Amino acid sequence: MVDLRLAKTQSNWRRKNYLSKIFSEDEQSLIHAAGDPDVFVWMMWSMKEASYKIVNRKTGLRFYKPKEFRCTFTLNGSRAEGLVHYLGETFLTYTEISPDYLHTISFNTASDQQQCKIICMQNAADYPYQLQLAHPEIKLRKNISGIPEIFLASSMISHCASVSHHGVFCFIIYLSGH
Amino acid sequence: MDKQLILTRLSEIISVYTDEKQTLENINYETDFISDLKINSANLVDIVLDIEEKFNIVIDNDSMAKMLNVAATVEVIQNKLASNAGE
Repeated sequence: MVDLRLAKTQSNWRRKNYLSKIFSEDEQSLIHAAGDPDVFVWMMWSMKEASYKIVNRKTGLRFYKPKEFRCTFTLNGSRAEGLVHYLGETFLTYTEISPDYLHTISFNTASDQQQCKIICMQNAADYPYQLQLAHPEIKLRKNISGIPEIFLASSMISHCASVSHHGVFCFIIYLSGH
Repeated sequence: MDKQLILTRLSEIISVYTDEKQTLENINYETDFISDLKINSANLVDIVLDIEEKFNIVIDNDSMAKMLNVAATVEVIQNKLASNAGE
């Protein structure tokens, strides 16, 4: 999740050596050729971040090597579909681009994509509470490993979830399958 | 360079990128950039670039990968300064 307005003031990607720490030569070429380079920077950034989140959950390892997550994508209006390659693994990404924000979801498999539910809300310090006010049937909590999950009162089932917030936006996604 | 001096200079660099002023005042080797100082991950690159400029060192990608907390970052800076001095 990138709040594009906040990103403009929070991060100066035009700073010397900034791009080369994060993006491959090919990715940098895409940025320099883009009509709206800000969108390309933050879209590929969010593709890398979302895919890192999967790797982090699978391995339990924390690290910061955005350059090793290699992005390719096809842009189609306000949506983009992409692939992120990391150490022999490939993740599928889906990005929604609006004038105010962009949001990327990375998936292990295409079937995960079909089961994905998205809740978009205003960011707040008490967002789990705000979520429950807006959606009384849903409870956001953390499992024993500290990973967010969505508990649905109707089915009494917990679903693997991910929370991403930046600036004024907060996105909560979960997989609705068992 | 002394570890404590590195920590002092590092916390000056970090202060621009965090709103957690109280945590910053109590900064120690265990302090985590993301979970404790709530630094945006896109600003971690800025911290790495600031460190490169202020300490006159070059940080490779494998070193950058570890720089999520104060202890690892101070260690990277110390090692790079030592290898600079050895050249």
